[in-house]
Amino acid sequence: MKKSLYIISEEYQEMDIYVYGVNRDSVDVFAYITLHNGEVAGFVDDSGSVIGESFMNRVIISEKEFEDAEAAILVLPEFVTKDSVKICKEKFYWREILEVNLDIVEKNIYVYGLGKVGKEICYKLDEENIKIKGVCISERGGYERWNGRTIVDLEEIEQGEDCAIILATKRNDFRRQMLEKVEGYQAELYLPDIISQNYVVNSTFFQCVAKAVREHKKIYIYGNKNDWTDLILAIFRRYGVKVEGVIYKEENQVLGIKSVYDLIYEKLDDIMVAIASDSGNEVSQAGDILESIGVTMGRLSYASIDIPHTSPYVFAYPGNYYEQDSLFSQCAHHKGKYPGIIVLGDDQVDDVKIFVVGGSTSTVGLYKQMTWVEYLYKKMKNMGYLITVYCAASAGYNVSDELLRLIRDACHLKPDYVIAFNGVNNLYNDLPSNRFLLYPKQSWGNKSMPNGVETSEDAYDFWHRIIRLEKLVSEFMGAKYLAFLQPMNLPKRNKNVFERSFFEVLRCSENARLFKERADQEDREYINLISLFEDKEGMYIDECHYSNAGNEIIADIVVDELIKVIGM
Amino acid sequence: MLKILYALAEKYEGKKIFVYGIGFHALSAFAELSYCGIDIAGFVNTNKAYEQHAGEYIMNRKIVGKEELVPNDGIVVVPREISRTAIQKVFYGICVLKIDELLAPDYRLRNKRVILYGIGKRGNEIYDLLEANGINLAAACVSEKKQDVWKGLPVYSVDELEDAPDTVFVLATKIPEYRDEMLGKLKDREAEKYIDLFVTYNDMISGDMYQIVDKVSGERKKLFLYGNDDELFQFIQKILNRYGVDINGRIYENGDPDRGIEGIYELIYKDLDNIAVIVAESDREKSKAVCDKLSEIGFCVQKHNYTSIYPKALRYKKGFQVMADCLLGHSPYMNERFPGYVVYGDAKEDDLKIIILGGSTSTDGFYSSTGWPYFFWKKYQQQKEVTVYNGAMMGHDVVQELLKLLRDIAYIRPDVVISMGGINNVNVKKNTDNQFCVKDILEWITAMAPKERYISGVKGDECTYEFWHRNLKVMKAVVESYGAKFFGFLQPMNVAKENPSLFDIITTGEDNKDFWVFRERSEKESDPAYRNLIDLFDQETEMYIDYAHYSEKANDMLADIVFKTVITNMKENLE
Repeated sequence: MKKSLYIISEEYQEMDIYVYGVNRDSVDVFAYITLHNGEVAGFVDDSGSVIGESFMNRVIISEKEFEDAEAAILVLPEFVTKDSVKICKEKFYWREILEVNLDIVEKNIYVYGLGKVGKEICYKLDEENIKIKGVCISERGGYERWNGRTIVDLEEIEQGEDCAIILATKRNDFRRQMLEKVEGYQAELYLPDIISQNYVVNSTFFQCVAKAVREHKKIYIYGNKNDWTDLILAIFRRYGVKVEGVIYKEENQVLGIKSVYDLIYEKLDDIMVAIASDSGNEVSQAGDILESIGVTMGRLSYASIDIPHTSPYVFAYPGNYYEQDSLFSQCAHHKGKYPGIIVLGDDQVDDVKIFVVGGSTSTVGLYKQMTWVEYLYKKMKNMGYLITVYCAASAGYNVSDELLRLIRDACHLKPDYVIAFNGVNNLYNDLPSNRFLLYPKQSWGNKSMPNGVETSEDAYDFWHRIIRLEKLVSEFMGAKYLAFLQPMNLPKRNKNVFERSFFEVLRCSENARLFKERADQEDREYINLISLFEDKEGMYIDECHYSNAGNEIIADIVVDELIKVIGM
Repeated sequence: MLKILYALAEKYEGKKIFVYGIGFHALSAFAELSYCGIDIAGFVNTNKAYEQHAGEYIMNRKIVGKEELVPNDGIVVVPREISRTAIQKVFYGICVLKIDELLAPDYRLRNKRVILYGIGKRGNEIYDLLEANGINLAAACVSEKKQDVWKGLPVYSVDELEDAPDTVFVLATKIPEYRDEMLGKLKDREAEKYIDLFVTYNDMISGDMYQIVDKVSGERKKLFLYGNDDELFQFIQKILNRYGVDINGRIYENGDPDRGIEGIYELIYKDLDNIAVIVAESDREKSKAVCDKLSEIGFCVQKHNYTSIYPKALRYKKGFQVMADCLLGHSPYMNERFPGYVVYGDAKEDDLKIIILGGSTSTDGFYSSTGWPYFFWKKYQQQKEVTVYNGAMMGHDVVQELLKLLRDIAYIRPDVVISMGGINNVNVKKNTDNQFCVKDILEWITAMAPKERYISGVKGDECTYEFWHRNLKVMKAVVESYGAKFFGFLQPMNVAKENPSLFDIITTGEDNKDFWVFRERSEKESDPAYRNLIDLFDQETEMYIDYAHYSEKANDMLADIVFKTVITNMKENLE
């Protein structure tokens, strides 16, 4: 049984907890509170445009209504400063309302993991006068003691009903390894976060469930009656979400589990499936089965509570997909002919050679959906072109990364055409003023590390200027250049509750509006697709990544533009 | 008595050790091995360009050809910067080793009571190392005791340890400050103390002590050794004795006539043209101060009449700071407004704005001589109000120059961009397929995740010259797209020139074909994006203060050439 080490404190559980805003960040806060045994009473709408509506059966109220509410507290997303919210009542960030789960107090506690998190946990438990029986580590080396505590080997842990092991890590890969080591132990397992923050911020679980609730869909839980099915059932119960039943790949009448294949007989448009698993394999397999039945990711008809269902393998095993890179620090690697580049085609001398740069929306193999790059290759090939596509896109890459991929790699492959497809990764507003940074170096070490000459250039001007440099560099090596400002619904006006919860990312929203405004006005050296999907359903699988349908439409446009340039 | 932990491995005792090459990497290897107590038998030269020096001597050790080596008797050791693979083929039948293969923890420790002093990261490494070499530890000790047992060994506070016969201490730290602190704690103990190295490998590469000693001895000048009677001083004296170098006098601070030690200012009365000084001062700051005093007296770096165990040419000027830079690895940091630049001028809106990019030879404030960018600015200032943004930084190559340009050009809005480079791209960056990377960041990656693989991009078939030139052309295109003028210069290099003297070779020479490639290709280049200055100082004297950096006289000459090139072009454009 896995439990959360920290839960919403008793003091605040007795109050009505409201989350500030209706956007992706506030849904993350909703998730954190919910996953730490808390219950959200409602949302406070900062814009005033969706007051009176609801999300996950919780009301959206005005700031004034909140001010008038008794025994209520407000929890803010991380990117909202307390000073910026003009509400008199006390404001919190979600971690500020947590306390140590009191279930652990009477247990024999072992802290497993002696890194930074281990240190924090020991400090917290000491502060609360909660006794720690021992600390342990997978490989202890020659050490006997750590921070004044005796180190015990995992085998020395005294198992039993009274035993509690705290897995002191926030890294998913370490957590997985630790879970394997203590598998079968007679002990309660406590985790600092029952689901890691990285998964929560990349998940659309609650958005998809809320949409299904709003559209009165039948909601099933996919799982084999485990901790995760129990967790989802408990959460749904808390928020009054009706569960139609539990399904799994194999029927189990004893446990009341139906076969997932029985869904075939249902009206698929009216179904939503919540996947309950923490295994990359299982989430991926569940997705494959559901897609084969006709329950699709593009229609947001299924989602996973733990590992994001959009890319389960990559999230579960990032080390298999990303590799350290000597310049970019991280690069999607493809174990093929050229490091960091996936090659579509036979790479023949006479082929039309296309070099693609971009972020995750152009990265082949990252998400379960087929990318526009793959559709482009397929379509051009079907049209009779002898074509090779070198896809150098990688998740997180911004326009500076792309420019340097061109300078570093493209010159050796001598492409005829360079296609850049980007925009979203240049929207962040919490970067140094000089935005020429390579992902994710900005987060390395000392945050105040200087990064060039200070400037007042805005995010759009920076992006557009580097696009021009990409063109210059492409032409310098003899290639023609095509740039696309990618579709994004973030700057869409008058978004409804679902759209706000799904697309609105606080650290990007201001710059997204700037990009839209300027792209709509300016003479530009790129093709502006920013509003392409604003009024189309089923184009996105999360805040910025596209469904198969979306990717195919993009590919059609790119093909048309490319053919104009090729002139055939 | 201080000793170095690494010594000649037991199995190689009795063999004659030859260093491969006679260039400055060979001298770095000579320095490292000499510090480890190894008596080098000679140097092996296979470079045809240096053939004329066969039979001559470096540090009283002969330069031999490969045919003079006797199988099973001689070992050829390869400097760290050179790959063994290619060399192995040349020496068929002769044992060729890397430095690390030749060395091992001193086997004599096996018969001693070994106490490991320090149980941190280096302590762990040394524990494993000693264990792997059959050396058993008796105990561990620390300055401040926090535990009783470590890896099954009893842990003592250094103060509570009693003296026992045959005890030796192995100091487990690479940090000089900690080492000195530990030595301080052991000061009154007679036991032998083993340390990693006196000076870092970087110091050895950047230093020129043995080159200067060799030159001075060859010219029959009098050699004075500066230093107190400390462990380091004795250590250096021992090495010089080993190679038959005569010390003609001792100097230290104000002198001590009773001990035959003269004061530093007494050198004023000596014939400076015929003497040289070796500064054997273990404190880096004091060593710098002594070098400054020698300069005041009339010694001078380009005359090569003094040297130090630390690189004497490296001297931060007051206020010069280097900071980590998340894009470039490291950059100068002199002001908040223009991080990464040393600014000459008032940065007024109407000033002519000039960005300078380059490596250490263009970095002003880091070396003892004034850099050419400053002289350049002074010359230009006489004609026009000009602000120079000197973004050069030691170690930066064409990749970092281009990155800096891409990052900052839009915000400085220069009228002119000057790149003075080349030498930092002569050496292929190790362990990468693609040269477009930043060495510091590569080091960060390997430090953070030493066991993980990394990729470096598509493997190109360019030689180092072609890589450098292509990126210089990209810089030119970028600069011109912003409406500015670009001036590239291939910097003067004291390497691969015709008929080099032996001193030229041991101070700057490298067995690196790319230096010759740079020379040959730059002479024949039909469409250069640069002006070729590679041979500018070939026929001049007193131009270099070490293996690559220029004297003030040279910097002034260089500034003059750059100034005339830029101003002529700018005037032509105005006309």
